[in-house]
Amino acid sequence: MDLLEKLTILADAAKYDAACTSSGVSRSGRKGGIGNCAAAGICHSFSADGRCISLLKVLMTNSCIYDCKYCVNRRSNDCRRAAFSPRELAELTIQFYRRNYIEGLFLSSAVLKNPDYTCERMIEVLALLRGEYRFNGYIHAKAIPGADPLLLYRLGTLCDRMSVNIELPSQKSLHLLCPEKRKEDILKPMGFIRDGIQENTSELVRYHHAPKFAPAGQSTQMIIGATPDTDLQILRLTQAMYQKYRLKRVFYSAYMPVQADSLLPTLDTKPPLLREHRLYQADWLLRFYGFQAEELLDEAHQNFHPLLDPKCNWAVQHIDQFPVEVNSAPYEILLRVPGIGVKSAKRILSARRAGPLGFEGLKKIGVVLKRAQFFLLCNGKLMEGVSVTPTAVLRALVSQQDLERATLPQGAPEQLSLFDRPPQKEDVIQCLTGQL
Amino acid sequence: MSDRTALAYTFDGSFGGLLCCVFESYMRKEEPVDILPEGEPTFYPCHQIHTDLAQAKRVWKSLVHISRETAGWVSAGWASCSAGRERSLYQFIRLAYQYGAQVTSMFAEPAVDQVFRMVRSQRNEAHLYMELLRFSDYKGSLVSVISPKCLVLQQLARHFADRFPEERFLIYDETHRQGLFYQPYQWTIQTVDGLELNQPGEEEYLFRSLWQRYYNTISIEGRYNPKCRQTHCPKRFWKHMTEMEGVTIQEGSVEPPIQSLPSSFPKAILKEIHP
Repeated sequence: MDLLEKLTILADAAKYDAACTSSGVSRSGRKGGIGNCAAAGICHSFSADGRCISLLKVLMTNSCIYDCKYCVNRRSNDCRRAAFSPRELAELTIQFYRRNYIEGLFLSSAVLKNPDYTCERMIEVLALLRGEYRFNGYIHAKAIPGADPLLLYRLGTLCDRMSVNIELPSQKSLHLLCPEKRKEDILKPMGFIRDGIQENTSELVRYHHAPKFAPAGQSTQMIIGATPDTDLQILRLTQAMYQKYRLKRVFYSAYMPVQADSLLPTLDTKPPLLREHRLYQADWLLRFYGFQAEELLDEAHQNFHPLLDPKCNWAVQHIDQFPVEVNSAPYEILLRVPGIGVKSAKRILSARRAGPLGFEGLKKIGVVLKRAQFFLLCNGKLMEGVSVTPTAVLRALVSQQDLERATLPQGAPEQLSLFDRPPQKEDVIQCLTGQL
Repeated sequence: MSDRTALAYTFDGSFGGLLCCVFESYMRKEEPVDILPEGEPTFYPCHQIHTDLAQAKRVWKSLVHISRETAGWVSAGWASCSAGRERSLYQFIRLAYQYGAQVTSMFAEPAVDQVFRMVRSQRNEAHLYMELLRFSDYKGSLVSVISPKCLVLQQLARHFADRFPEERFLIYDETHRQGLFYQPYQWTIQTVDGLELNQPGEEEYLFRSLWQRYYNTISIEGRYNPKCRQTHCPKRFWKHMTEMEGVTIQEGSVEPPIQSLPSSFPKAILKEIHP
């Protein structure tokens, strides 16, 4: 099999992994080597689905001993199998890297023979890159659940970020769809990586040249929409991941039906992209805005609102806590106002030290007044012409486009009509000029 | 100053020339209403400024002395090549002398606002080229052609010299006809009249096709979203990008983000919002 075919099979098998970031570590280049890393990460291209391509994301091999129902690479699936040799993959990475196609390598693998063997093969590639090619760029490696801790440690010292995928947000779903995997198998390596990173930080303080262990931290991903878990369950799990396992990121991947199985959504199900989007919004609220999962959703509302983003939704539910005074509200409260982000909240703090802030000033700072106007006072006054009624607030917070889509009948059979949407300006003009 | 006739300065169009205009205006205690490269038409009486690098250096040093950020803004603003940059930069520098380092946070001043926008667009473009620039291998040396709106080679030089210390590369800026030449541990930016490239070797074609195949494979069909791609990767960059050769935008149905309304959503309000 030639390289082109191998790459096609193994990239195709890896594409459902959502994470493709190259962030979290800053490292300058070295003489005699190749590559550096930027803390914020660098995207190198954008695929037709609009997602960034930062790393060469491939599997070492796609032949697997497991039979997880949602996965394209499952044992019982009749697909073509391939495997990279370590030298081949290292060479490919370097050649792509020096043409500025990629920021580094994202190496994952299906489990070939057993977890230890798979892990060893991955280590071979990374050792080749870091050693012989003196590659100094970004490497993201998947920890293989069930592999020996010593192997995982070795893998961690060679890569920048490690990740273990939770895949499904509850034990019940996991049991149903991946009968051969257990929750403990997934959480064990996560705990191991967390401890490794923690030990490593104290080692680095004592010995400057101690080998770095996963300096960009660890991340995970879960599949959204393959199982009936609610947003609340997912968000709670996310929160626990950040707190217990000190993850840098949790990624969500809207489930793309690739397998027909009675336990899975049917093949014509569309990926729940909006749900994925809402989860990411909530994820940001957890990480940067000081929200708790329980504030955003509760037993009565287990799923996110399709028309309002989680922050607006929270603010509308807690309208009694608003409006707040821009010139005196503490940072934590400012962050909770829709239309104010981390950057603008910080700018407000520094700007109001110089003098009182008005709505004009807020606009210049970058506050989105369209949303924030209902929740803010400047010098004790609401913005001119703003009246806070539930209808007015909702009207401003819900985008017109979303609303139209929501109110149009979806997929239901309907009688054809001349006016299936309210006539708009263009229609009227067309009518008048006879262009119909 | 104010009772003199309105006067425009003309200069040779170089960055040093602009700094000399600043120097002259302080020497002559006057404030030009406009600063133009030589030969551009204007209704104002003109005063020609000769470029003296020693004077330019003095002005530059004084800017660095105010703060690195201020000097950085001036050079990035110049590199942005946007229309009217001379005037905005001149006013910005005057404000910098007046207020010191805090000038870079005085967004209420129109000149500061304009310079900030120029700086942002220049830095954004430089960053985009760090992402989207593509090298081709020509017998072991790397060559890349770009067509930026701003002057971005300085930033690219720093970035790529750190990234590929052992390579030899050339980045050719089509728009401004400048080339960045790098060989281990030294680089230079020079004017290049034109660049004619031979056919690259077979290996180069192999990696190009591998990359194109990878690019096409990695995208998930069910999530096809050309608009999102174009937002992140504007079309003007496509012509020099290996993987974008022959990319066409299909008429795809992007799934509407709304699937269904929750029962909890107040229908009455919905009716009221909907026209």
